[in-house]
Parts: sequence; C-alpha cells; structure tokens
Amino acid sequence: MEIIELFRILALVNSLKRNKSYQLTFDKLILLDFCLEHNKLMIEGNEDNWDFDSINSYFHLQPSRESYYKRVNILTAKGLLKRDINKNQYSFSITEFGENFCSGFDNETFNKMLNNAELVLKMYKGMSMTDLQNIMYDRTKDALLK
Amino acid sequence: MIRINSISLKGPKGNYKVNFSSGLNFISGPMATGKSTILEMINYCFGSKSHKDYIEVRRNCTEAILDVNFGEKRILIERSLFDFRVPIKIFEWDEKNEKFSNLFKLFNVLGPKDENSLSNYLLAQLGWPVIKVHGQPLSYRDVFKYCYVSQEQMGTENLLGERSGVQGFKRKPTFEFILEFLNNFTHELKEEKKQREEELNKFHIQKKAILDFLEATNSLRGHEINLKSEKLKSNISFLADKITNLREKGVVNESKSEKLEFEFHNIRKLIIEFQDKIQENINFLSKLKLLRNQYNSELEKVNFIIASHGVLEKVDFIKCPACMAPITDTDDHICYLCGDPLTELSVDEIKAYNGEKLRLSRKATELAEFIEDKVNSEKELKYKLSMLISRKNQISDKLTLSRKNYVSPILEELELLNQEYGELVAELKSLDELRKISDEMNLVSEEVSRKEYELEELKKRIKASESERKEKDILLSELSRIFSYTLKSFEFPKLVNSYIDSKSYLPYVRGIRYNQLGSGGASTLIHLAYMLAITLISSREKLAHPGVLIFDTIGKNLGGSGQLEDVDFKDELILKNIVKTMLDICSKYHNIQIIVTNNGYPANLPSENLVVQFGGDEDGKLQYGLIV
Repeated sequence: MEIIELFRILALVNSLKRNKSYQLTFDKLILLDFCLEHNKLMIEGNEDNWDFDSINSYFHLQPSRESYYKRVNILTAKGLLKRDINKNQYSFSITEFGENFCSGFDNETFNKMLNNAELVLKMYKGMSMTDLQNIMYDRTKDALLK
Repeated sequence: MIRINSISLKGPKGNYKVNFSSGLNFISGPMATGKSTILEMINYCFGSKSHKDYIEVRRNCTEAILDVNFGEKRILIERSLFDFRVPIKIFEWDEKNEKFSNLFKLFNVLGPKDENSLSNYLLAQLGWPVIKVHGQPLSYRDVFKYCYVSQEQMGTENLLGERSGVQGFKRKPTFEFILEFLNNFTHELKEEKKQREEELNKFHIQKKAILDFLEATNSLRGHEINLKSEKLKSNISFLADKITNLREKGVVNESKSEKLEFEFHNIRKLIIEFQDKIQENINFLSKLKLLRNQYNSELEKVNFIIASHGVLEKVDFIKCPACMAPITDTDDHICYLCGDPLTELSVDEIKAYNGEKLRLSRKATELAEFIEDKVNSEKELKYKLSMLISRKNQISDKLTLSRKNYVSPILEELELLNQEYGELVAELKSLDELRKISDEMNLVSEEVSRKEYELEELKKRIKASESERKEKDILLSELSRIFSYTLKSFEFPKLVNSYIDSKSYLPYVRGIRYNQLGSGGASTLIHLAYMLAITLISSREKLAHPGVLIFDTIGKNLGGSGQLEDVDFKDELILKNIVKTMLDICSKYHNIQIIVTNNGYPANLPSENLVVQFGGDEDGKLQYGLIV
C-alpha cells in the first residue's frame, strides 16, 4: 500500500478538525486529495516548480475509487479516521487518536502535507464540486499543453 | 629637527623680512627697535594664543609668515595678525616646481584635543605621537616652551613652572618626554601606531571602493582615458573638417546612409538568429527544469518512505480493514493479515533506499549545475541581443530622420555627420567625468602612500625607542655634567658645584636650588645653560627636542653696553663667553639652531652670525628697526 497516499489522506482529514460542521464526503475527499497531490498545480501555480507529475496530472483526473476505499478503510480500521453515514453517504472525520498521531509524527514532508492541506481547504472548501472539477480540468489541460 | 629659514611681516606697504641660517643667529639693536617682535612673531606662527599690541605692526602689517623646515620637509606658516582666532594657513613645498604650493591647509589654534589643530599637525611633522600626561594630551606648545625663552621669562626663578601651580604641571612630564624617559613613551608610540594603522585601513577601503567601481563599470583609467580622449578629439577634428568640406564643395563620395542601411540589414539578420537561439534555449531549459523538479519530488518521496516506514504499521488495527468488524483479541506488534511481527526496514532495505537517494541527489545536482550554465549563457545571449536591438533602433532613427527631412543626399549626409559629431562630443564629456573619478583615485592613492610612509617612520621610531634608550639615571647624570660644563664655560665666578637634581629636574648650584641664589644675572646664566644642555644632549642622543633655541635678550641682568671691549666689565666678558659657548655648540652639532637678541653684541661674534643690526637712530647708517 502506498504509504504516501495514506499519510496524505490523513493530513487532509486532520486539517478539518476545527471545521466540525463540514461534511467530507467520499467524492469531496477524492477531489481535495487530487489538489493536495498536485499542489504545484493547484496551490502554487508557479510553472518553474512543475514536474512530470504536474504535466501528466490531466490523465489522473478520475482516480480509482477502489484504491481510495482501501485507503480510508485502512485508516478507519486503525482508529485514525471515523466513518459516519449521513444522508445516505459516508463522511469522514479525524478521531482524537488520529489527531494525536498526526501531531506526534514530526517529519518535514508530513508537515509540508499538513500545511498544504490547510491551504487546499482554504482555497477550495467553499466551492461546489462542479466548480472545483472545472478548475482542475482547466489547469491540468494547460499544463499538458505547455 | 626644526630649522627656521625666515620670518616676514606682510603689509600693504611692503614686507619686513628677516632671514636666518643654521647655527647661531644674532639680532642686535637698542631697545624698541623690534628685536623682541621678531622672536614673538616666530612664537606666534608656532601657535601662541596671541601677540602684543605693537603700534607699528598694527599700522603696517596684516600677516606673519614663517618659513621653516621640519627635517627635510619645508613649510610656510601664515597667520593673521591681531585676529587671533582666524585659522592658520600652511603651504607645503612643491619639490617638482621648486616653490611653495598655491594650495594650503587650514588649522585651528586650539588645543591638541582638536584633531585639526596646528599643534597636532606640527607634532606629526616631528614624527611624535599625541601622548597623554596626567590625562591631558601633550601639545606642541608644551614642548616649544623648551625652545623659546621670552624676555619676561629670561632669568626667572621658575624654570619648570614649579611656582606656577596648576599651570606648570606639564613642564616636568614634558622634560621627561623630551629626554624620552617618560615611562609610557614607547607604549604611547605603539598606541599612535595602532591608530594610524586603523586610519590607513579606512583609506585602503576607500581606495578599493573606487577601484571596484571603476572595474565594475569597465571604466578606463589614467593614461587610457588620455589616450581615448586624444583619439576622440582627433576623430572630432576629422569629422569637423569633413563637414566643412562637404558644406563648401557639396560632393558626396561615399554615402553614409548606404553604409548605415547595409549595417541595418546585417543587424536585423543577427537579431533574428539570436532570438531563435534564445527561444531554443528557453524551450530546452523548461524541459530540464521539469526533470530537475521531478528528481526533487522523487527524492522527497524516498526520504519520506525511509522516515515513515513502521510508523503507521505500528498502529494496531481495531477493526478488520476488509469487513470493518471490530477486532477483540489484540496482540501487539504483529500483522493481523499475515501474522508476521512488525519490524522496521531491514538494513539491506535501508541501504537500497539510501542508494536510490544518493543516485537521485547526484542526478539532481548535476542537472542543477547544467541548468545554471544554460541560464548564464541565455543571459549573455539576451544581453547581446539587447545591444543589437539598440544599435538597430539607433540606425533606424538616423535613417528615418535624414530621409524624412532631406531631399538632397548632401543634406542627408550632413545631418548624419552632425549626429555622429554630437555623439563623439558627448562621449568626450563623459570621459572628462571619468577623469575626475580617476583623479580622485590618484589623490586617495597619494594620501595612502603618505600615510604608509608616516607609519613606517613611526615604526622606526618605536624600534629606536625600544632599543637605543639609555637608562634614565645615566641620561640625567650626563645632562647634569653638560649643564655644569656649560655653566662653567660662562666663567661666572660664583656658579660652581652645579648639577641637575634627579628628582625635581631643577638646577642646583653650590648645594642650593637655583631660585634661592637671589641673583638676576646668575638666574639668566643658569637658564641659558639649562636650555643649552637639554638641547645638546637631545641632539647627541637623538632624543625629542626640536633642535631650535630662541632666547630674547641673553644679556638680561648682565649689564654692559654691548660693544665695549673693556675687560674690567666682567658682565661684558660673560656675554662673550656665552656667545663663544653657543658658537662651539653650533659648530659641533650642526642640527642645532640658536636665535638670540640683545642690546648689542660682543666683539667675538663673527659677522656672518649677525643676521640683523638695528641702529635705533634715524640719521644713522643702520636701519632704524624692524619696521621702518
């Protein structure tokens, strides 16, 4: 299992710890995780920092839902995330154990993930899913064409 | 060592000058003829606070000018009369032109605490540091008290100011300074050396800053500026002739505009080539940067894998990840799927990851260096391109202007030539500005050389002070012997058993302190012998006395008419002996200069030593006085 992907999802959910009212559904999780994964495109916007993953991100706009299920299940099974059912859909939030785990793991890359997760939420949390998807489509297409 | 060359009083009606030579200089004349004025003006130029209000001087003179040598260096000190606060002008001798420079420096007549004081300047000329005695800086004036004895001071019973209380507290330490057994003399020299080194360092920094500026702007220097300037002037002259010729004859042989057109087309081609190269470079660079960023991202991921492995694994499952059912039996640190114990990465695995890390780092570093080279070459190309574009625009403007305004090719040619003429003149003007900076650079360099020389002299002095200094007791003993010998040479019968006390530095005669003798004549002789002894020993041992002595009225308290040969007048004989002793000293020690005045001179004075003789008699053959 890709360890980086697991920590990234953890970082994203952890950053919502202060936003109790926000419902992080499975679809929103996938979209926001995309923004976090391709932060050079979706947060920074500085072309000089792009790499090949940034250029090829267009081809990863629709990631495998199955892989995401597996990831959130692992994290939930370890007691780091909490899975609720609300209006016939799953929503995810961080547990107290998960919060402590995140604050106790002092690593430069993970700290960067936490910061970027805060920025992603700040920029895109309030947007509708359609609007966010449009932005993702436009940016990845521009990067590919460049 | 000091040697006074002349003193002049400058006035609207004329200058009143007295020349001096080395050795003994005798000024003779009756009272009120200006003898003391001469000496007082020398003292005034050396920085005394004021001078007396002489009526003839006030009526006829405005400045006093002293021509003096400090070792090999000759200077002119010019000071306004009657206005004592006006700064003093110092003119330095120009060796190259063999006259005094027209440029002067200004110095204040303030104490040595002021950096720009005359005192500090004169001390620097003598190569002495500014040292402190009892917390006060020693000034040139303090030392000069051992050179100049005015008429009022001659024969006073207050040689070292021992009766002047607070005013005289520096006389004794100054005595020690002159004989160079001031305890901290060498230490003070070293402090001075440290200060001068710091000052010199600042000048070096200034010089370097100007040099760096000239280098950074690729500016020409020194004779290169002159060469370029000459070339420009020659081109300007050639163009001027060409323009005149064209105006007069009206024939165009070689069209300037055709040449410009040709150049224009070439430059345009070059510009396109450069632009293509640059674009190619940019494209290549953007791909390289992508690759570099990818390496960095991969590196980050590898680092994270190494750092995080085992962290998440150690968190126990509380539910089954497949069906999300709770797990009740917990067994710490085993994998619930396969039962293997959870471990950290093995040593081999860590080595593999580290190896990967190293490979990625190396690639990223090499790539970064390659990218930097490419970026630099791109900058160079862009710079060259901008130069070409600028030149192209210039040519285009010229051609447009000439074509637009002029139908005749002659007029067009004239316009172009005039433009070129204007450009050359502007370039010449900017060269002049550059020359100013270059001149400033030269001034700073000269100042640096001068300060380096002064510092070297100071270092030599420190070395001499450390190695050659005699013990204080030996010096005092020697001084005492010379004083006794000199006093004896005056042949005043009652002045026997004389010596200088090692504690008070005061003269003792016949077992008692000099100021207890009660004789004006004896005091005069003791005063003269004392000053002569200090000067003589300083000259012999190369100590700190300036080497000049100025005595006003050496015959004070001695009586005698001056020119009588009658040996029954013992005071007249004493005067002869004084002069003989002075002549002997000057013949043996050529770096000692003595200037004396008196009402009359003894018969044994050689004529070459009589610098001035005033008659005091309006109908007499001699000049009446200093100011006629």
